[in-house]
Amino acid sequence: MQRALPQNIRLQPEEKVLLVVRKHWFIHFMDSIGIVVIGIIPFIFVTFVAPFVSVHAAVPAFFTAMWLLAIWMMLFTVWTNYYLDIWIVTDKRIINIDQIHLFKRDISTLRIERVQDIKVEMHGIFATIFGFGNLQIQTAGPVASFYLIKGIPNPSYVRNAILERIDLTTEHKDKFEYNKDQRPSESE
Amino acid sequence: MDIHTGIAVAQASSAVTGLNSSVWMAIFLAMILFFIVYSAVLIYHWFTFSMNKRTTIMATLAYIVISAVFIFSMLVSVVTLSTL
Repeated sequence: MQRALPQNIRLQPEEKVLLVVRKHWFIHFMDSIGIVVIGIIPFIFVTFVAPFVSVHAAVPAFFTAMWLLAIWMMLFTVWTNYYLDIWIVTDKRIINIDQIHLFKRDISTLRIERVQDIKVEMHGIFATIFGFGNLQIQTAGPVASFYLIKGIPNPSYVRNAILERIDLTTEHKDKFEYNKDQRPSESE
Repeated sequence: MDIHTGIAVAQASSAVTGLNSSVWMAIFLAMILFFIVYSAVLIYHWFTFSMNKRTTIMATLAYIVISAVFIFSMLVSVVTLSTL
C-alpha cells in the first residue's frame, strides 16, 4: 500500500516509497528541554518573590497562564519543525524535506543512481546510547558533493537500505536502458 | 529588604493590582488575537504537510484543549481583577 505523502510531494509513476525517516526523538527532546525549563520561571517567581509582594492572587495567576500559553505554543512550534522535517527514500530518489522554521521549508531531491558512497557518523555518548547519527551521502558528478542527513535513528539500517536499492538499480541497468531505447521518441 | 525598597515594592504592587479593568482586558485580547493567528499558521502546517492524518488530529486536539485551559485561567483572572 502506498503511503500518504505531503500534499506538495508527487511521486513518479510506479515509484515506491521504501523508507520515511524522521530525526531521532532525542534531538526533539533536546530542542524542547530548554523551553520546558523556561516554563518553570513563573512558579519560581510565585514561590520565592510573591510572598514579598502584596499583589492580588489573580495577577500572578494571569501572568502565569499567559506565560504557559506562550510556552505551549513554542513547544508545538518545535514539534512542528521536528515532525515535518523528513527524508523520504523511494526506489528512485531521496527526497529531503527540511522544515527549518514555520516560514522556511526546503525540499531537495537526489536521484538514487547519483549516490556514490554513504558514510555513517555517530558522534557522542547520547548518539551511541540511543543509536542515532548522520548519513553523509557522496554524489557522483564532475565535482563531488555531499548530502547530509542529520540525527536519524539507526543510520546504518538506512544506509544499507539505500545501498541495496542502488545495487538493484545497477543490476537492472541494462534492462532499464533497453526499455529506454524501446520507448518511442517524442518526434514519433 | 530596607524600608525604602519595601515602600517602592508596595507602591508598584498596588499600581499593578489597581490597573484599570480595560487594561487587563486589552492585554488578554491582544494575547488571544496573537494565539489565534499563530495557531492558524501551526494548524495549516499540520494539515498541509503532515503525512499522518491521525497524528495531525491528535496534535490539534491536544494543542487546543490544553491552550483552552490556559485561556480560561487568564479569563478568570481578568474577570477577578475587573471586579476589584
